[in-house]
Amino acid sequence: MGYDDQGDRLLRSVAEHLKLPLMQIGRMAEVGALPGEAMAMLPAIGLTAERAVRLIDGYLLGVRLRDQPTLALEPVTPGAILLDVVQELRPYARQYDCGLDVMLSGRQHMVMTDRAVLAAALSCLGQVFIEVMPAERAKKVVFAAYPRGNDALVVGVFGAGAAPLLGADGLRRARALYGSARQAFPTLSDGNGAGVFVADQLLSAVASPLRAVRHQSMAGLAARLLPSKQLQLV
Amino acid sequence: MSTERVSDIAMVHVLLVEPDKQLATMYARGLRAAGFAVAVAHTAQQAIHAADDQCPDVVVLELQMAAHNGVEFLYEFRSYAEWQAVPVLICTVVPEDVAQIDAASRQLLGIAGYLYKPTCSLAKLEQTIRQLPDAGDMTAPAQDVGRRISELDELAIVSGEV
Repeated sequence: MGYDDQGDRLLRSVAEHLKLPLMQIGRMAEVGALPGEAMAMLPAIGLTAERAVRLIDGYLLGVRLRDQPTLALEPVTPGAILLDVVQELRPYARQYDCGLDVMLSGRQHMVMTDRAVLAAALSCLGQVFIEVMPAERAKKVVFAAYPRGNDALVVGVFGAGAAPLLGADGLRRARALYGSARQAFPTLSDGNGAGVFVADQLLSAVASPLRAVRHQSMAGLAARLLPSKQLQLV
Repeated sequence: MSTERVSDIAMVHVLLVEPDKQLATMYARGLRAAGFAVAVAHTAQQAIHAADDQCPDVVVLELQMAAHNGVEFLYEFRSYAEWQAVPVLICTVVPEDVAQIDAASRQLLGIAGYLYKPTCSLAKLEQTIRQLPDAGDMTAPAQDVGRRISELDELAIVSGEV
């Protein structure tokens, strides 16, 4: 499938997804008009609008990367990015009564990647997980980085409640469905999971596409990042 | 507004089946401010449990949900005799021409109305609930519903084409 097809599918997916924050803002504005509700609604409207803009920015970053002849790779400490993303997402997670955690295991190599790409991908991915974690379970989304093999560092987003619902087959089917089906992860999400595919596009641009993985009894989506050989020699 | 109408509205118990927590919170707040009693469910299973706890006067239902969609919920909901006459108002992100629920299916399943959520304000939802006909007018005779559900052709499933 050529990029234009994929690009169209991703654009359709993002466009469809953006109805949700706009609906939320519309309803929040209506509730804000009720007596005594305005002050409670204003921060929520702001957060919702910010998340929508971040998704759009993630999508546009992926489009720009396609046209760039070179990538701005640099040594990056994934743990620091995870902490920044969690800090950014925490207010939004509170709206969904969802806890966030950072789990850094083993030796945390520095990796060569595009910092903005990794941050945007984790942000978009984290947002999806916050929204879809099953309501009946204790909602917690974990941003984790752990070594795999001799060199690689796996960095991704996990949810304890997603364990029985997300796997390699599910991700493969979702990649075939997004942009045409209303629900790319029908057993996991009522939405179309656009944030997952924006993250996938971004990480694929740095040769680290998303994989369905399991870590400490949690299921999640993560990218395998390779360290800089030169940094290892230092 | 007459006292009689306010007391009527206060007696209406709405079961809101909405998977998105933010939207559910907003719709529930708006409906409660309008005088309705509201129970919220985020999944089909939660909705069945909520209906079991207290039989609703009307169900406001999103079709597009994870695991079990609103159509599947509706089939199960209608299989219980005590809920066969409860009107269901579809309020969904699925456009009506995509869902393709025909008139016969609507009557069989007691679908009292179809609202497209992106353009459905709180005020419109509230007004639509207030204008619902009596529950007894909405569905086929209770003893026929179970038999006819098994004969019904499949409804368009929401996970089809956008």
